[in-house]
Amino acid sequence: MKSELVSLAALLLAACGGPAAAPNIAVRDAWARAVPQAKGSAAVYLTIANTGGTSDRLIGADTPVAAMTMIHETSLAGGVMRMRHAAAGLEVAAAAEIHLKPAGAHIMLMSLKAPLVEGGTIPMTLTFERSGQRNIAVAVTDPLAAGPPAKE
Amino acid sequence: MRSFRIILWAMVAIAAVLFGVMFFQQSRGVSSEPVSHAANPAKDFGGAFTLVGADGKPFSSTELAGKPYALFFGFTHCPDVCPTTLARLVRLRQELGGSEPQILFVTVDPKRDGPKEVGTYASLFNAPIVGLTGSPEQIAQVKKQFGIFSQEVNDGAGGYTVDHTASVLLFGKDGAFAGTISPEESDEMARAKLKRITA
Repeated sequence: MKSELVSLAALLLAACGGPAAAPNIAVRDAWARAVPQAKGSAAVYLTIANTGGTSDRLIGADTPVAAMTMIHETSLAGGVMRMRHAAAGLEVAAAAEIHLKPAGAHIMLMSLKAPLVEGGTIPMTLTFERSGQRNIAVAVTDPLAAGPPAKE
Repeated sequence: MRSFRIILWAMVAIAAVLFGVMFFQQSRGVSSEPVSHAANPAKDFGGAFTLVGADGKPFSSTELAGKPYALFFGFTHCPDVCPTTLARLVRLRQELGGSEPQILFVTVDPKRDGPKEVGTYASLFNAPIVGLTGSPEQIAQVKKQFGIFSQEVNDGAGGYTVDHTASVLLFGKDGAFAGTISPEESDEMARAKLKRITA
C-alpha cells in the first residue's frame, strides 16, 4: 500500500513538471496465484503505466523465487492457446498503460525455487530499456483469483 | 543421335505414365477417404476412454456415467491459460453450489506430466478436480476422440511449451456432448452453460 502511495505521489510530482522527452514508468497491481510447492511454473500479472513523453520497453524480469524468468505473450486463435517468449519485450507507449493479465501477456516464472504463499509477496526486479530497473513486490493471491487483490 | 532421341522419348513416355498413375491414384484416394467422420460427427466425437489417474491407476470413462462433467486439456507447465481456466471452472461451480459438474484435467504433455504431476496440479485449486494422464498413445487417442489439437513448441529457453485447444468440453448426465466454453466467453455465459448441464 505504502509503495503505491509513494509511486502515486511521484507520478503526480512528475506530471506537475510537464511532459518531458523521457518515459515515466510506474508499476502497480502486481499479483500471482499461490503455488503450494517449490516446483513448476507460475505467472505474474501487473499493470505498467507510462506517463512520460516517450515510450519505454519492458525487456526483462528477475526474481529469486524462480530459476528462470521470461516475458511471455499468450494468444488465443481458433480456440487454440499459444504461448510465446516476447523476445523484444513489451512496449509501453507514452501516456499509455499496458496490462499483463490472464490469457494475455504475463511474466512467467519457471522452475520455482520457493512456494508462492497466499497472502505473502514475492520480490521482483523489472528491467526497462530506458528507465532501468524497478523493484516491485508481487502480491500472492488465492489460487482461484482472477485479478489482483482488492485495495483496502 | 538417333538412340539419344529414342531415350528422350522413352523418358517422356515414362514420365507420362507416372504422371497418369499419380493422377489416377489421387482421384481414387479422394473418393475412397473414409466418409464416416463427415457423415456422423456426433457419433465419432467422444466415446469411451481409458487414461491414468493421479494415483497411477487406470481411469475409465465409465466412472463418469450418470454425472455431468467438464473436460479440459492442458499441461502443468502452463502458468497462465490452464490455471486461469481451471480456477474459473472451480469458482463458477462454487457459485452454483454443489459438487457438479465434475472437472477433469487431461494433460497433453504426458512426457512431463505423470500421475504425480497432474495430481499436484489438480490440487492447486483447493477443490475436487480429476487430473488425468496416460501413455503418449492413450493421450493421442483421447485427443483424437475429442478433436483436441496440441503441439510442442520450442520455448527459446531450452524447454518447450505446448500449443493446445483451450476450450472446455461439456457433457451432460447422459454423457452426451453439450457444448463448449471458450476462454474468451464471459463468466456469466460460462456459468449459464455449467448450470444447464447440472440441471
